[in-house]
Amino acid sequence: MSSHPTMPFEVARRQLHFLWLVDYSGSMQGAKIQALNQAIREAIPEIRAAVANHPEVEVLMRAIRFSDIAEWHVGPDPVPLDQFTWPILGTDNYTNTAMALELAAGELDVAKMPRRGFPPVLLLISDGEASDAGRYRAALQNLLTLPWGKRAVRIAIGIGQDHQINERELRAFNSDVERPLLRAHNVAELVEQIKWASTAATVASSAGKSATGQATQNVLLPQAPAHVMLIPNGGDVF
Amino acid sequence: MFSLYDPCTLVQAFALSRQGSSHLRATPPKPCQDACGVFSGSFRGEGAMAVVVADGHGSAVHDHSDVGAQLAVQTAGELFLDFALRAVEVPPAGLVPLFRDHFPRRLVRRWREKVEGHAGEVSTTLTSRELIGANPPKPEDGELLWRRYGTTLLFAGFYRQYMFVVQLGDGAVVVQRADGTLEFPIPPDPSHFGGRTFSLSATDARDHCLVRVFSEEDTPAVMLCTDGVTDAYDKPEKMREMLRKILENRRSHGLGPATDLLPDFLDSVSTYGSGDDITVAGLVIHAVAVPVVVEEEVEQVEVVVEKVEVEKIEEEKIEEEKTTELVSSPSRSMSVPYIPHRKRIHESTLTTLPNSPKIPS
Repeated sequence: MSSHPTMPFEVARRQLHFLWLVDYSGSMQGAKIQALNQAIREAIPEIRAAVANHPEVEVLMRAIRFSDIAEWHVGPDPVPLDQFTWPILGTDNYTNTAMALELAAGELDVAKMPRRGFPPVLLLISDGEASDAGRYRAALQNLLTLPWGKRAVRIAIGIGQDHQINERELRAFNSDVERPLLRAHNVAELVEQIKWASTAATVASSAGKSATGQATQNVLLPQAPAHVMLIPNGGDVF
Repeated sequence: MFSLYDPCTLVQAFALSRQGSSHLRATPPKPCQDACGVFSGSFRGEGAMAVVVADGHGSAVHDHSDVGAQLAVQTAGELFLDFALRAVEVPPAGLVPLFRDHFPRRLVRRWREKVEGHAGEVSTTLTSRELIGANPPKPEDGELLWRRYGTTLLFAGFYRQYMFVVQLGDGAVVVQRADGTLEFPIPPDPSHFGGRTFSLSATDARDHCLVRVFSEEDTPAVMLCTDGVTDAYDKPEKMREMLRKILENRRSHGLGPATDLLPDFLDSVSTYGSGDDITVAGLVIHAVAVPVVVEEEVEQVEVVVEKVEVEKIEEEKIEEEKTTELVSSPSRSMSVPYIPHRKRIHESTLTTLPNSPKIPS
């Protein structure tokens, strides 16, 4: 027997799964897709910095791209944040948002997610409405029936001018449907909104909790600061 | 740190809450929303002792959950002593039904009364009114008010050869069986993940108040952990091993040295595991000798013998070192303890070094 008492130390960090859902339809061609690639690449170090002071959190990242079909851009195996890199994304035809949600829902099954994990973060970025609105509604409905889908921190960013975005569709994706939709009208707004949304969602997910059966079901996000919501003269206008 | 030794029942209890690493890092820092307490009393020579743990929900809509957790601990402790008083003349066969009928219903009701009382008190002071915003909660607000104080609750109480256990919400109860093995008698609820839990503040709280009762012989120790502990371990076996080690340290080194380790240890568990507030409590009946399953069991027996031989010296040391906090929580005065069997005296003396009071002989 040892002369002094000791304790075994075998704790494990809690996982936070982050999924990018990124539109690369034909309408994203040009400044939009360039800004999106730049913004996500700039957001990664900011997320790393935001969680650097949270040694208990292990962020695991994946990305789904969608145009005619949805497929893994990074995945399906989750990549630790410190190893995550963003491959440059081009553009293609349509906007199959529904299939992207279906693919994401398949990964949020309780059996595939750690019970002790933080609520996952889903960040949807799109410049238009889903090609198949009915299928989109069904896919979203299915996502929200999943325990982790319901609990996920879900944020949508609409790219382009207001008349180009189907606000109702994208707001329905948000975990807080009362919040104003993040709308990126130009390059600077897209970059800032992606950086803010990805870091705020990650930090918010890793703090706080709610009680079952009571009104507040999800992680509360802070309000987006004004400089993120509206940047006049922010480069190319979409 | 609360620790208590009851010479009446030969029961040891301890409870410790630590502020979570993420709470310390928050700007401004968030208070510890866990609470714990140790309670004891004696009723016609029958001792009663309990440990209680509560975990306030801590999110923005549960802005008084730290107070809610403290009120839950206080409520459960007082209620158990009240139960023991009522049960003095109840035959053994009637104890368990009485507890099941008495405890959950009154727990929920009395906690709500305390919450409403607290809300009424704080709304009369300017400082508190500022703290709780422009629309201070009113008792008639019902669930809206209770929610602001939302908390879980874990309870273990020993009385008349029974170990009573109650769980409402997440966290874990771990019992030690007579052969030294540790078990989780209440499996995690499937809905408890991603920070979700049942709450004392819900209208259906009583329905989620799980009660288990064990006999002293079958279950000589119970430990309670908030989710700050359970979330830090990816496998139940690892958490069980940690709890087993606490019990082993208590037996091998005494309650004082065993629990002295815990503040720093729990801080590390929070920092590198859960990030959450973290609480561990235990109730150990050592009138019954329990072999903790350890690798060095033979060596341990030798130490026990050695300590018996130097019993008188050790008792003098205990008297000198009796300076640490022993009783922390509301405690009723103890009646004259009965003098236990000599073997029991040895057993209890050995296991409470160095922070226990001298046992009458």
